[in-house]
Amino acid sequence: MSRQRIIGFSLLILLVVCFIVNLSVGNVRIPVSHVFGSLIEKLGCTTGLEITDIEYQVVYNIRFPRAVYSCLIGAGLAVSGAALQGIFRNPLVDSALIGISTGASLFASLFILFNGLVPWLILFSEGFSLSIVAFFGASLVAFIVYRLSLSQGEINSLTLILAGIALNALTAALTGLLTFFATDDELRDLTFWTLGSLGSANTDSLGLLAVFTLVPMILIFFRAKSLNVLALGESNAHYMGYKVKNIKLLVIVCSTCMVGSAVSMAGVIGFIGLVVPHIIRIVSGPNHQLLLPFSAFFGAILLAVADMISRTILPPTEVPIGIITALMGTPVFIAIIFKHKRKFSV
Amino acid sequence: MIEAKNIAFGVKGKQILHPVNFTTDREEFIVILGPNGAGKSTLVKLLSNGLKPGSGSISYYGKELKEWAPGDLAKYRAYMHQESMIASSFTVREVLEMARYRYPEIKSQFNKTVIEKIANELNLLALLDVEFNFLSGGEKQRVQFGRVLLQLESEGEIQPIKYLFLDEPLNNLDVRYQIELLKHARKFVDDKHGSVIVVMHDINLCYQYADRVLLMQKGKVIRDGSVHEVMIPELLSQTYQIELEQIQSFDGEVFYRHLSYTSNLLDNTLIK
Repeated sequence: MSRQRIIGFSLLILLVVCFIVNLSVGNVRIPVSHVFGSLIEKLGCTTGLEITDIEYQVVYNIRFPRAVYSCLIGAGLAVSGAALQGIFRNPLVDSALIGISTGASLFASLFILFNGLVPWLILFSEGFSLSIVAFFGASLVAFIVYRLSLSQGEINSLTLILAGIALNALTAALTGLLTFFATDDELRDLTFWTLGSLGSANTDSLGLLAVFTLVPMILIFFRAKSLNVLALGESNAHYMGYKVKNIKLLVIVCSTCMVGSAVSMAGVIGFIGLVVPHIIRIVSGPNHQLLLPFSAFFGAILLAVADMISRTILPPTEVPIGIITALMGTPVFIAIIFKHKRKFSV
Repeated sequence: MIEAKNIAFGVKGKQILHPVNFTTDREEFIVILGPNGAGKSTLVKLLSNGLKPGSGSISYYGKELKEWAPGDLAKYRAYMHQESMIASSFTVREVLEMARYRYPEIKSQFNKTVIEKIANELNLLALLDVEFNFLSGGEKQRVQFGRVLLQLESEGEIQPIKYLFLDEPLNNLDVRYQIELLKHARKFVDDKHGSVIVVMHDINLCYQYADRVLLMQKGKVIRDGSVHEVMIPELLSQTYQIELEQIQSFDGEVFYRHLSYTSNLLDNTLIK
């Protein structure tokens, strides 16, 4: 157990460090002491530090929400990946495979091209409406995939993955068609969105993202033991007293919430959901009671680091974060495959 | 107590199991015997709530199966599959621990003790920290047997009869472990833990260990009774469509064998 505690603490410390560094680095460099100072002053205490108004604004209004975004989204993607791999007992599954991400992409593209035609969306800001539409798209496609996979009221895992692949191809084709008709400006928006960006982070939607990520995440954490038992096979799990159908449905719905909200606010960010659970399994084993929380921490860390890189590598522009995660994730993943050829399982 | 009334099962218009009644109300070692495709596994799955019967009803301790919460039923009946694969790199200890998840109210010390106890009895102590998927087929089978035993283990003096369903548990086991597994199952019955309901093919082992035999053929239970009532050579020969004879050694042991063997044997000293 002590080894597991060390891993847990290390991840937690790493996460805090990444979070603070994220508040500190960027186009305007802010000393770490001032970062702490502005956060403390926000809570109503006074510090002896001379924090300028700009520093305060940058830390609190720009970087803080963005850092929280990266942690929530990273954690949500990683936990959904781990849980989906668990229920399907398939190490290749992640949220992209069952249509959540591409569904969001398609509807986001529709919105970018046709938002002028839908007056009711004026109720919200344009960015927020985009998120709502994308979230709806994610849920819709995930639901269609889910419905296609039902046979006699049971979720057939293999059919679900196949249906996911089919709908992915279809939505990708439709998104492609839309890009073909898009104007140059719209195309830029589309590309940016499909490559992922945390640029839209703001304090207003922070609460919403937190609820849509943390509530499903906690629901999944409570099912850690069920996910362990599912590794013995659906039939064994049934005989051991677990309602397999309910567990699967819960994981699919919760994943859709987490990934749907992540994609709708930050675009498509690949690889976190696939790679993080594998790394954690190699470090601390397949037990979901540890795998799920550790994946959450590590996913948050990875996305925080990726965001830091995306903001600082080519100043003053930002490199889309989806590119960074793929560039970071793939070599790590390949290295792991080489080192643990034998040991690949869920 | 299990009571099944007129349970039947079919898929796509094909009747796999014709209506059958079955009752067990005491600790007994029940073997379901019959040729391939006789519906043995189907019957076991229906009785253990792995499949829902197309018609008829099954009750445990007088309470209909559909009224049972799955988590409660799991403490009274367990089922062991023919094949065992695990999709994860869990260790043997972790697999065994999963059988105890359903007992969160019991102190972890008790859980630890029973796991050690069963692992010791099944000769699994040395394997506890080995990854399950690295085990041989027979070792996996023993771990799964340990897991189902652990699923039924609970605290307290007075316990209702529990039910252990085993579907061809001897697959992959060498001679020693076939005997050991059956001895364990026998002990489960003799220690008044509960009943064992097992599908197996070895008629000699069946004769040695069973209290009661259900002989099945073409989706029907053609005879249900004690070993002596059911395991009559003529009836077995007819059911399996092969000439079987019963022989008795001078010390009273009973064996079954295929008739054509007899003519090939030069040494007939065993036969009276």
